[in-house]
Amino acid sequence: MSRPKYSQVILIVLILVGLTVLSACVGSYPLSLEDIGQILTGKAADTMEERIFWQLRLPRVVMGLMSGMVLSLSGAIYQTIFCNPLASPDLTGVASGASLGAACAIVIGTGGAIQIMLGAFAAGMISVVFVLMLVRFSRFRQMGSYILAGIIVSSVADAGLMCLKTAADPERELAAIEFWTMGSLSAITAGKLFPNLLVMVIPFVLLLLFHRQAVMLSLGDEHARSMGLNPSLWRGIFLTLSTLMIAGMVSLTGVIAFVGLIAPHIAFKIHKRRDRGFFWLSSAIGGMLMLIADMLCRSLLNGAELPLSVLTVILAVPVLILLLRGKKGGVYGPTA
Amino acid sequence: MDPLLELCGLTIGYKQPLLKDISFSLMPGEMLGILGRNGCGKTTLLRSIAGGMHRISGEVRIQNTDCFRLSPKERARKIAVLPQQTSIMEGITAREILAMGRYAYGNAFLTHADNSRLEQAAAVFGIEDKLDTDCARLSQGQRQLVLLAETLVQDSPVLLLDEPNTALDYDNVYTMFDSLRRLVNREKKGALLVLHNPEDALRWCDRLLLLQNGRQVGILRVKDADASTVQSALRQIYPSINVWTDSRYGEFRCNTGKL
Repeated sequence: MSRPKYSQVILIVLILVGLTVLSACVGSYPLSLEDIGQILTGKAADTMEERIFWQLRLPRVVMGLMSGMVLSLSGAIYQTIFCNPLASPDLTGVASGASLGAACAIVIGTGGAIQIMLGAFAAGMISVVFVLMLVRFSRFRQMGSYILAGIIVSSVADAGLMCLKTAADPERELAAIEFWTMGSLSAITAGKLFPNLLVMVIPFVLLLLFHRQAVMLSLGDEHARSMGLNPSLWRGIFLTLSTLMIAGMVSLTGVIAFVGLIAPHIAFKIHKRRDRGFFWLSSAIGGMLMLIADMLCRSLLNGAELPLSVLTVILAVPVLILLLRGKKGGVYGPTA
Repeated sequence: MDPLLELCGLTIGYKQPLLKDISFSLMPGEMLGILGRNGCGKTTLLRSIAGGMHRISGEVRIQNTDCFRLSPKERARKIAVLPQQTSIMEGITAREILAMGRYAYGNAFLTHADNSRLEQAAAVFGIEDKLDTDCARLSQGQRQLVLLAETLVQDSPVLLLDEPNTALDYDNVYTMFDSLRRLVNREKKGALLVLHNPEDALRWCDRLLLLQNGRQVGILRVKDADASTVQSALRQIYPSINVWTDSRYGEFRCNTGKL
């Protein structure tokens, strides 16, 4: 079995570390490498730089990195288990559900940060429960059933979101909903990050460990079952774990478009295999994309921030066009 | 000798039965072919034994164990299946496909014994030089050989093969059947094969299960049968078939009276 070359692994780790450090420096209050060195060695105790670094900048960078990795790993898993290059974490309606939950917190509740976070997380999880219930209700539990159930739940959540937008106060609530659905890392603080980090890290590690089962599911239910895998059980496990980490992420950042779709494609272009290395590389590329997008969001406008999804879409479109052009017969797909 | 696989009055379906009252047994060292027209339920029968269909009544026993009570891993250790259609995504090598055959044995990593079994299975179908090739770059016939080798890696006493000669060239059809025949004889496995070509079925199988419209219309023992017995049995499903014995090779030959 071929393994990724050490030089490639080292290069990817170096790029990730470099982007992480750069991202920690960039912002409305710039920090130099020297500042960060002094903060990390404890020489800048009780300074403004230290408070910004530990309370705002580091949580934001960690969340950016982690959300990119989480979205991309989910995308890679979904594209594999549904054998569909267009599958992405939105497939199960988690993003639409979370948006509805956040909008409920804004319109019906007081719109406080904790309320939005809890509303988004709960509604994201409820959406996947509905998806699994709909699949259970269908007689044939096949790949298409999950996709169709996801579309149904997403559509219902989107309809609910539209109703809430209609009822929302245009000056305050509607703007808050719109801002939330475009995604941002600007509100991340140390206090908000750490509980959610746990919700993201545990499923993330488990999903990486289960890559073999994901690849087996890509052969189809009948074949996977014949090799000893319970397809319904494992697809449920994958959906639940990825929804858990996506809901944990979305509840803090809002909806972030396209990263989960394109990062696995870039990873496959580089690695050309669908083994453990592919899932690691997808995660790393997702993290890189998100750090780059967040840095651009913070630095393109003076005194203001662009929504994250604007940048992720701008980054994604050329990549998708290149992928579309790159190969005869589609980006990549199954061979019968 | 106890049968490896035994079906007793198996009826499969949901509100309407798709297969009715199927009963037969598969003995060690036996190749049992399933013949029938399109849509008669051949693939459904294999799927139901593999646990992918809803049972209305009847029993499926594998080595005296109720098949429907087995967990997926236990079932995979007893039955290996070659499905009619499998889609393989780009980026998966033949070696990875074969390695999946060891999943039912629970090891997270392949042992030395697993690897040697994998190499042996590849050698049976002549694909040892393709092991590290992406399956998407193999021809359809080569992919079929990879999937056949995977069923051997599973090391199960019962093999369910749905149209195993699909997409194989003339030479590979012979090699595949010959290798399978030797393996079944040597390791006392039982193979249940869905086939379309009656000549292949008569040449390689010990018995033939004849299906029509979801019902079993007979079981034909090929050995010691003469051409007229075979012809009258096969005419239950192919009314215009003619069967005769090729005296030079001592094999049955078939054509259809429609020609």
